[in-house]
Amino acid sequence: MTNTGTLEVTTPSEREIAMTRVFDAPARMVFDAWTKPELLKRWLGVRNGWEMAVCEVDLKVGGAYRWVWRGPDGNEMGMGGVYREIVRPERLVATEKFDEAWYPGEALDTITLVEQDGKTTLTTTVLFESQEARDVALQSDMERGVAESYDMLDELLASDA
Amino acid sequence: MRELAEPFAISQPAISKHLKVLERAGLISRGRDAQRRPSRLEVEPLARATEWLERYRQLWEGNFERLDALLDEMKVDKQSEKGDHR
Repeated sequence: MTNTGTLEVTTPSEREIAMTRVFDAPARMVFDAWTKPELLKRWLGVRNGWEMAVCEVDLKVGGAYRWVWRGPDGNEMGMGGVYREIVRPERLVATEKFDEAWYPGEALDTITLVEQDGKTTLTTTVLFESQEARDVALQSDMERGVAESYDMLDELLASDA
Repeated sequence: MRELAEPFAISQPAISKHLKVLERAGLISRGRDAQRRPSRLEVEPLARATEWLERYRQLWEGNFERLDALLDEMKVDKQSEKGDHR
């Protein structure tokens, strides 16, 4: 497995979270991995027994996407939105909204891909409706992460028994 | 405020403005007596903000490591496709 870069997370403005990461692959492959259901299901949010139970993508401007993850205990987490801009393989803009609104309002995701010498620099920016929404999103992620770590601890303890 | 402004090449009104922003963000607290407004750094919210970012980074790093593996696989598939056409 080639891990070509460390992930940088920044908050470029009061309402944004941005991430930058380099991938050892051409931009069109990275773009496809973000937009083709059979590829998305392989990597996005699938861990610790969670799978993408629904992965629908209508890749056109104004088209909708709908993603639902299902956990080992049957819990589900769903989200979706609408594509606003599609420039393969350079740029993708879409709205995002979670079924269980863990931050207020809707956010706007922008993905940009810049290819050089066969490597691709990916930048994703999530623009929230307010600073409060962004801060809630960051905090919730932390709480989910902690809950997940406890789940893993449970599994580890169970397997030792 | 004069003590805070001294090490910087900016005016006291500018320092005052920066302090107001930091105070509103909850990153410093400010006292008040007759002559001075001592400022105190609030460590906890600053640490919490850093922790949120780190947690967010870890979640996505997990996703991206799986994506690395998938991209490697896609590259290999593409190579073998080329081979088939030869």
